[in-house]
Amino acid sequence: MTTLATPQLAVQGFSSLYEIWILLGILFLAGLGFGVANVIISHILGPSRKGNVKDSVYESGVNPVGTTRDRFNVRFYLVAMIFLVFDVEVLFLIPWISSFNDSRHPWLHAAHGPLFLSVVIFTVILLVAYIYAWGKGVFKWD
Amino acid sequence: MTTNINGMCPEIIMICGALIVMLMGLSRNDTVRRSTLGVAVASLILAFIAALRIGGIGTSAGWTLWPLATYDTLLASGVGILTILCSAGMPFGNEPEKPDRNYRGEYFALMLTSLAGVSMIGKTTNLIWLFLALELVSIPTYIMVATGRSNTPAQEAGIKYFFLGALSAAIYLFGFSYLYGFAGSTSYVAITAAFHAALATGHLPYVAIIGLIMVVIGIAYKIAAAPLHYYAPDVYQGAATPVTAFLSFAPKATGFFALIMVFNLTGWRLSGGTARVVPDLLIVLAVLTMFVGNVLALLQRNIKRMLAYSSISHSGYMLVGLAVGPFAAGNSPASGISATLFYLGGYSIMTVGAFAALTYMQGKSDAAEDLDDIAGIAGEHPFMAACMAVCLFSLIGMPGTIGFLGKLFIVQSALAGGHAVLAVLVVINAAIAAAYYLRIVAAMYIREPWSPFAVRQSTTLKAGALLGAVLTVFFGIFPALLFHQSNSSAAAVRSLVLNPPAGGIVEPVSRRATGRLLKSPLPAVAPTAAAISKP
Repeated sequence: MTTLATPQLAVQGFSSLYEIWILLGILFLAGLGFGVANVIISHILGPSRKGNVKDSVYESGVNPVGTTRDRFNVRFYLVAMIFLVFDVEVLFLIPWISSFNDSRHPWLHAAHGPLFLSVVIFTVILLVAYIYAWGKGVFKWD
Repeated sequence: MTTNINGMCPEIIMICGALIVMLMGLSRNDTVRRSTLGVAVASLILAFIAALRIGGIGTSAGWTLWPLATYDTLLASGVGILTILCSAGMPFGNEPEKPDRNYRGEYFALMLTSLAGVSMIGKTTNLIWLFLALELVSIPTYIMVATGRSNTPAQEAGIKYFFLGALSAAIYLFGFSYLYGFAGSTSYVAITAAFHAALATGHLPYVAIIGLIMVVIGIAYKIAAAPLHYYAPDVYQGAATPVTAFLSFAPKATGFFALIMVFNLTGWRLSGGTARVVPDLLIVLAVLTMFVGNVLALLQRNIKRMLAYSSISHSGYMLVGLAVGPFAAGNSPASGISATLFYLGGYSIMTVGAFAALTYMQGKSDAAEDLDDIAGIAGEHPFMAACMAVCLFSLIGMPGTIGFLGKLFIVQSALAGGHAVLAVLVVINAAIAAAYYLRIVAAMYIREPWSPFAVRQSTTLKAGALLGAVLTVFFGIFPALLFHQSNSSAAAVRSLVLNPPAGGIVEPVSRRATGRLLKSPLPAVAPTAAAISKP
């Protein structure tokens, strides 16, 4: 396993397999620390107002008490769908931009023109989806 | 890369049309919203011309299956124009004065997207791509069924169609995963080579057979073949009639092109050993589908249900051609593939023509559905009754119409392929079918009207029905234009199957990318694939 992985790691600038695990550990600790720190800091710094509503569970604006087979406002679904427009866009744009000028993918390099054009087309199609949602009044919240 | 973009030109035009139509549907001006139909037709005409031009220039020279892809695109855009003419004034039940309660733009955008999917099937070179094209056809149709008209049967039909459609997609996707497991790649080149190698040893692994069976069963749903036909009558009845017209064409064309693409991978040589089960399955499906469709249609009084069962039975006829395969009858219109493709084109034209005339007769919101509702309509509306009658005679298979030639080629192919029993069954079924089609004609011409007719006065609709009827007769008398296309497609399939290494399914897309990303799993395949993908 290690013998197979080593040449690739050398290319990517890692000296050993452990270095990756150390990085992963740091990432894990940073993530954990960020969550815990936020709870503690907001507990210390935030104004503490007590009350039935304030103490109740946060359920994204839906009343947490009562039957769960309740009707949800359709706006939640609309927002979720609009979120998808941006989410999918980012999902495709990040790998595209990170490999755009990468010497490790010469075939991408050679196809710069079409690669750039295809992402422009993709973005324009999503832009149409955005304009469409706008025209249908998805962003009106009243 | 440039070859690829040129080849996809018709689909790009259709998608651009869909985007423009969708934005036009947002307009506050009702005239702009009404003109979406014109824009949709214009983009399909452009796509049709583009497909003809690309076919003529031969930009994708070396890609053997190009005639099949061109036929697919011509069919999608040509019959697409008919279905859009049939949809004048769609969707029913919206509020024209409120822009955000008007779904006209969406309706035509979904239709164009779905047609782009139909047109893409013939151009696929990879199972993933095939799956995406199949879903591109299906997903817009689910929405069109549910939003076509705002009553409960339409909602029921939409839900039923969506859940069963998702199930069928899961089945054929599962089948694709078995084919991937068998060949180690989703690329057609690699799968063809794997089948070639396995069939040469005389033993096809069960993985491949199970995969093929699942793909056939999943796609049998799309074409409404017999054990999977149960949704068809309810969905066809519940959906608005123009949507029904679309459903009787788009998923069916998709299914048959997809089946041809999948069987191309096997080289159509499954008659030996355990692999025999797959062609046998096709024969069983064909016989069941013909009988179930025709016999149950006899029991219906609702015209839309009757035409739904009729569309099931026509799938059966086309499956006969598919079961015969490309080799019997050589390079004539009576080879199995050519007969199926010719029948597909003819069936699409005549059935959409019949639905256009029916939409006209039904009046606003499809009020009239029963045989009694159109009784004696020929006296008051002789023109539309005549269009309907021509299309129905063609569906029966009367000489002088395209339906006759379609059945003739199917029967010839069955005889040439040594399936005499199938040929007899096709003829028996054509006779059974005449009974219920003639009941509609008799109701229109012989019976007395029950109540005054409230037809949908629409010139577009009239034009659609007229075009359908005229094309039905035109291709019945001058079939060469159509069977030249179907024949060259079948010839392409044959030449692909006969010399897979030399003329194999060359990847027309991002050759470099596929070569690098997919490490060929079979050592025997690697040199072939590399040799083919080198332009």
